[in-house]
Amino acid sequence: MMSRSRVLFLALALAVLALPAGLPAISQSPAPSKELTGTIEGADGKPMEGVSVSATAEGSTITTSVWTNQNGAYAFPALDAGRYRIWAQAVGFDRPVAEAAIAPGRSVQQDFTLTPLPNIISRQLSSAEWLARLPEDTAQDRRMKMVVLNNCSNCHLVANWLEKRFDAASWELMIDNMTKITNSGGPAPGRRPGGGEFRAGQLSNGESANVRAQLQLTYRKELVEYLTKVAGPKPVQLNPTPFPRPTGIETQIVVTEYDLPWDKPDGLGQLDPRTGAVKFFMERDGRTVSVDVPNPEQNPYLTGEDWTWGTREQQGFITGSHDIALGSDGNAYFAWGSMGMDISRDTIWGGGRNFTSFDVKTRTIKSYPALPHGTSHGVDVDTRGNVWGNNPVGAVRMNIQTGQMTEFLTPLPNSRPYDMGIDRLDNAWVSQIGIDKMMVVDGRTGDVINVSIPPFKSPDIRPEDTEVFNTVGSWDHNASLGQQGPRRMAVDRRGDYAYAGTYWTGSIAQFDIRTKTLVKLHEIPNGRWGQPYKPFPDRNHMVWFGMAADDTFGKLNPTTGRVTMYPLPSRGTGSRHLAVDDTTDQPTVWVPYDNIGKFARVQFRHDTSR
Amino acid sequence: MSAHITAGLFVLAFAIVSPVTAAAQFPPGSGAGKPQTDAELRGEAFFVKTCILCHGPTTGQARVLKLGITDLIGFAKRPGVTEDYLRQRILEGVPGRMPGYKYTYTPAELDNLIAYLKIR
Repeated sequence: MMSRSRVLFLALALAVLALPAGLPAISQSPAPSKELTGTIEGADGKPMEGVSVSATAEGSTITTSVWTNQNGAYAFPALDAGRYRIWAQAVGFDRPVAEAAIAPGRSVQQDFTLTPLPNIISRQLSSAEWLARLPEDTAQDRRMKMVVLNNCSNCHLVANWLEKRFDAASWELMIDNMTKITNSGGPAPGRRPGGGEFRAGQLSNGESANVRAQLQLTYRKELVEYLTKVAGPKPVQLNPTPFPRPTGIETQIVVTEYDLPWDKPDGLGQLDPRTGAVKFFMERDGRTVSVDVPNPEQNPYLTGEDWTWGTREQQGFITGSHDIALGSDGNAYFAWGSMGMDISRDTIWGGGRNFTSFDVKTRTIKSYPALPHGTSHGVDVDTRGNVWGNNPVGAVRMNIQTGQMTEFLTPLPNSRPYDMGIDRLDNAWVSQIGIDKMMVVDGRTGDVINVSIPPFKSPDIRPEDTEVFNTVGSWDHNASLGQQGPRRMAVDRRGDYAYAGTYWTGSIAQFDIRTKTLVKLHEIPNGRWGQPYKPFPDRNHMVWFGMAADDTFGKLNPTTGRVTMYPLPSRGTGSRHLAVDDTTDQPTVWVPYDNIGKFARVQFRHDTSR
Repeated sequence: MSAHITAGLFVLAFAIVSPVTAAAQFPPGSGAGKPQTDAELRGEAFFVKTCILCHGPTTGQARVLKLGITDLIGFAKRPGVTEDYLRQRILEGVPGRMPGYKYTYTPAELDNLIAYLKIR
């Protein structure tokens, strides 16, 4: 009997025969053209800056978006000929839609007037905006926002359930069910991250609590009360002041969104940014085979293009891609776990139960022997070509010549190693989200040390919260108040610093690879609720980073500390990972949307080197 | 606890949340009907926003909860499952098993969700 993936493979192979022989190539330059331009004004006749304008051709899987400047004007790059649907969006306004035929050499001007809505439609808000706008009148209000963030945001975009309303009994039921779910996996019951034990509580199903469930048990009563208050039978009054729209250079970008097929075979995905075509590579009987994957039009209410439809659950139902890696062939690769990119060796790496490589030039997959422990999220390559991954007990290095595996254990147990990167001195850096420390493996001696991040301070954190922080601790899905949460990380391979996003508190942590010390925590605007994720230094040492809950991404200049935030044109992106193409005139940023099944390619119309 | 047990539990956790293992699960529940009308398309979107966490049969979450949760494929076609029955279940929930959505859905949204459930 054939496996499901093999059946799907054969079905896709047949289906692709029905595809058109070739897909049109889209423009690769972000420069403004005259093909589609316009202005946007409010009902008061004044120009509106920072409004997103999107266009997609009939039958296309590609959407292009630009933003209006201070004069309310927008200009698309060159577009393929076709009949386009064009729409404009800003939080607090309606969403006008127009249609126009675009043809080379022809200029189309499409102006819009946006009408303010009587009240902000809450579903237009990103998760970060939802949390930011919840009441902050009292210390308890502010504290409970942290409790919600630290216990619910890992698995859910909080906007998706804050826009719903339930009575106390329903909230209680859901929290109890979530506690059971979060108790499966993670460290053993009663085991404290970093060492030691805590007195494990008991779930309603009789199980003893691990650290994740213990935190939910600790805050269960307060969570039910708070959620019934802010998302209960009576609607809560949100802070009416919206996040400001993008201005200045934040608007000088072109975002090309590529739909990914929701139903995919197992294997390594490849997106050709010139056509939007998707191909998958997989091993069959020791050989690498590929298949073109059809990309049918999706339910428009699920694509995130209309903000009034809000966010949705992730959980892989609409399968985008958590990770992305860029190949030396200009294609974007996805769908493997723990992806790493080694442009200089034309190789894409994947982790898991064993390392797997994809040679971009020969288009060949190679699988290596099983690892002692499966890797988590990080895979990187040192200067000698040896492959590293982080795993539940620390890090593992595979000698690329001999195949020998060497493990490096974390100094403290149960630290939840999450991601890793190799610096130019061949030291391996591993973020440990459970204990707020970075493990550093000396590449020459194999010695291992921890570099600490101090706890997050807030006057709203009570002594009893600090007691929980000290006695129970934190893990990946749940964290005590005060936990920073260094989650995804990266190293500047041309520079002297490593970086990690602090998932629970909204900063980018900067570490000196020479002194192996924390340099600074760079606070990200709205980062507390937007949750910085994967950092990625570019050739100019600028640090790009994804935001898990804000439908934005950012750039940190670590020298000046200046942070620039850029918008994404879809809602509910759940964009966590990020990669930078350093081969283009200005670095090009790629953002995968985990929740709504797209990739965003971001091109810049301004100098990003400062 | 030994590092191996820790690793095993980690692998279990990873299997639950991994985007790789979760691939190829859409449409949610193989064999689900494909929405055609605008109401069915809107209903499917609401289904994904509100129902699918529990009513996605292949998820680890459903298995952990041991509530006998169904994927609702063909559910609305069963004898005795009327529109009124669906409406009541969704609005009031089921004590100890399912939250009630009476404060969440507008009548039009509920109509769309039921339109989708009827073809799911």
